[in-house]
Amino acid sequence: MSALGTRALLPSAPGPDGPRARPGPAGGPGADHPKHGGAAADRWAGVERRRRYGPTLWAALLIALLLLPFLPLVLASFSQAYFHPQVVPQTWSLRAWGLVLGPGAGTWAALRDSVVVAVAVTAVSLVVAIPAGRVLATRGFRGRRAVEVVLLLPVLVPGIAVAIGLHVTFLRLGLAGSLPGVVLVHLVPATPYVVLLSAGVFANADLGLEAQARTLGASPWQVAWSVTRPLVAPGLAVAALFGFLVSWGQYATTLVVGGGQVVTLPMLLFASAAGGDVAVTAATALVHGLPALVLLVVTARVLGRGVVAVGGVR
Amino acid sequence: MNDRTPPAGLRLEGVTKRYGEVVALDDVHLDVTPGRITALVGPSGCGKSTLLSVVAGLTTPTSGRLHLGTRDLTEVAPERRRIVLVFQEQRLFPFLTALDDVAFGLRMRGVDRRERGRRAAAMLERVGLAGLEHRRPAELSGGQRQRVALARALVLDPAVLLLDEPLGSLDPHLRDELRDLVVSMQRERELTTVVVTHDREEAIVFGDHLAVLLDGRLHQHATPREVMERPSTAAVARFLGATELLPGRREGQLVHTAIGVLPAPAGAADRVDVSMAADRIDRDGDVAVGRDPVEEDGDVEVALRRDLLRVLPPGPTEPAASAGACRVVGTLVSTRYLGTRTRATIVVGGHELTLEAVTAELSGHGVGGRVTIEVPAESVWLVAREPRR
Repeated sequence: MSALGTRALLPSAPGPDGPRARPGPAGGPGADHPKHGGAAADRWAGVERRRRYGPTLWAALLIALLLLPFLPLVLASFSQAYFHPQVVPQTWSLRAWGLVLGPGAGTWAALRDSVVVAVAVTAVSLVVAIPAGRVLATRGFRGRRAVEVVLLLPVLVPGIAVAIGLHVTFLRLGLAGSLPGVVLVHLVPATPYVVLLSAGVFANADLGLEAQARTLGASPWQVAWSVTRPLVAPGLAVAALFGFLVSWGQYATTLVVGGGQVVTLPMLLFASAAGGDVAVTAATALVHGLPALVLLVVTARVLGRGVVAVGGVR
Repeated sequence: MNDRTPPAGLRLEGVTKRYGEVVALDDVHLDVTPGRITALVGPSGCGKSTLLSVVAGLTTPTSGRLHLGTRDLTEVAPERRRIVLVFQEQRLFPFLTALDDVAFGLRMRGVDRRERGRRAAAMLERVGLAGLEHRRPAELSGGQRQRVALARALVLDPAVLLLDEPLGSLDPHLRDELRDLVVSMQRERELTTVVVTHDREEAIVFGDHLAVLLDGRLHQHATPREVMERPSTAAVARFLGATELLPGRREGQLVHTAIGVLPAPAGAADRVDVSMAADRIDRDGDVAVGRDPVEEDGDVEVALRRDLLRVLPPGPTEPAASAGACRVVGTLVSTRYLGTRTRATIVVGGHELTLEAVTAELSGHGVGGRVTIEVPAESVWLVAREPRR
């Protein structure tokens, strides 16, 4: 995990056996490598050391900060009695987990619905975001800034306001209380993130490679598959992850449009929090939080490999 | 490699490209000689890259046709043209190794993995990159990347190779090396090639033919020597800088200019290879073209070949070296030592004349002194006075 952090933070750091130091036969890059004097070399080594280990420390710290809040949740979920000022529970128990994972709680159904909704939201938002992001990134057109502001508006307006507004329409359309209705309302906050991230991905990609591929004999479909896809896939994976997580965390919009008939994990979480059972709430929170965390780590790992591959340090 | 069809020529007929009000290419007629290198030269923004892009099929011309041999390419998709464009910035795929990059085009054509790997490896070896097959672009130097880009184009055995400023991003010491590689590979394949450059000298050493593109118009298309010594328009002369331009007036066999009366070139239609392109521009009448030395009396621009002007040694004047030469006398204003040659600025009859002479020739002359210059008849070339725009 920490090694991954280093790579991700320093995608193209020239290591000691990096590309610049390798001499090539035909006018290799080593030829123009500056020679260092003694003192300069020492200083350089110091900089190198800091460059190499600094990010690792920062990454470790960051990961600790991110994971720390989960610790009390884990403790609480296994507790029978857990009161202030105790650091660890007085008595341990599997009661909460039994309740949460048991047949009566509906956790499994909620997990399934959460996944179904989030996957659908991710898919639909990507379908919108790939062309939209590309156009935003590559075409200068009148009113582009206005389009960007309009895209950001759903992020600025509270979700509950949007949901209440949409609820009436959805009732009329028969979408209220249905999974498609919930997917649609989740798209309101999720799509802007995915579109803006996608625009960033396309803005950073060298799309001139597509023209190059055409003159090398690739049809438009071949270009899309063999050039554009590998160029933008890592960035779009991050965009998709954002879309998934936005949907995964929705509560208010699900509550209003789902009308209690669509029960996702946040619905269970809020219900148990309101019920006041700390252990059950903690266990539910973990059931909700863990899949997201796993997804995040898996994405980072896959991308980390991609970064290594693209950055060329092997 | 032996059952090759003879190289096909590329023909542009009245190709025009407009971007709104801006005319990037203005009615360009160009016959690219098959199997040869044509250097397309012009200052930046003259439309050279647009022209390449049109030929490659990446830009659709506003009007005009494009032919490869007998085939009309105007509507053909870029991937079906067998024309490969090598961009200045190389555009290697960051996610592919050198070998996979060179094999890319073969993969798109459906050549099986082993066969394309074999051909790509052979081509990499040919461009001097054996052993670097598994490097990615980030691990290659600029010169190596350019070689990969070249190998990637040539492995496809294209009908036409287009190179956009192929030496532009390289260090000077790598330029000659890579140019020689490009030329040798072009020669062994008799590949119809168009090289775009803004660098006059590069164009001259690269091109079997030179096409001068200025402000979107093709001004002249001929051998480098022809273009240098007998520019078709004053603009070409000014761009190439090999001749000294001064206004004059032709009267019979003489041209009256500020520096004196010079011999007008005799009717020289037989010794001038007139390009079709120049002909066509002439017909349009927008840009007047000196098809031959201007035959009619009247206002002309005189293009004096600097390399033929000779500074005579001080002292008693020797007899004229060539028949029909004339002499003008001026004041040496400044000199600039360039090594074996010295650049001298000489004011003759109010006109500032710049020429480069062998340093020894100028050694007897002091700045401020009077200098006699011999102007041989062959150094005088006339082009039509440009109409005011």
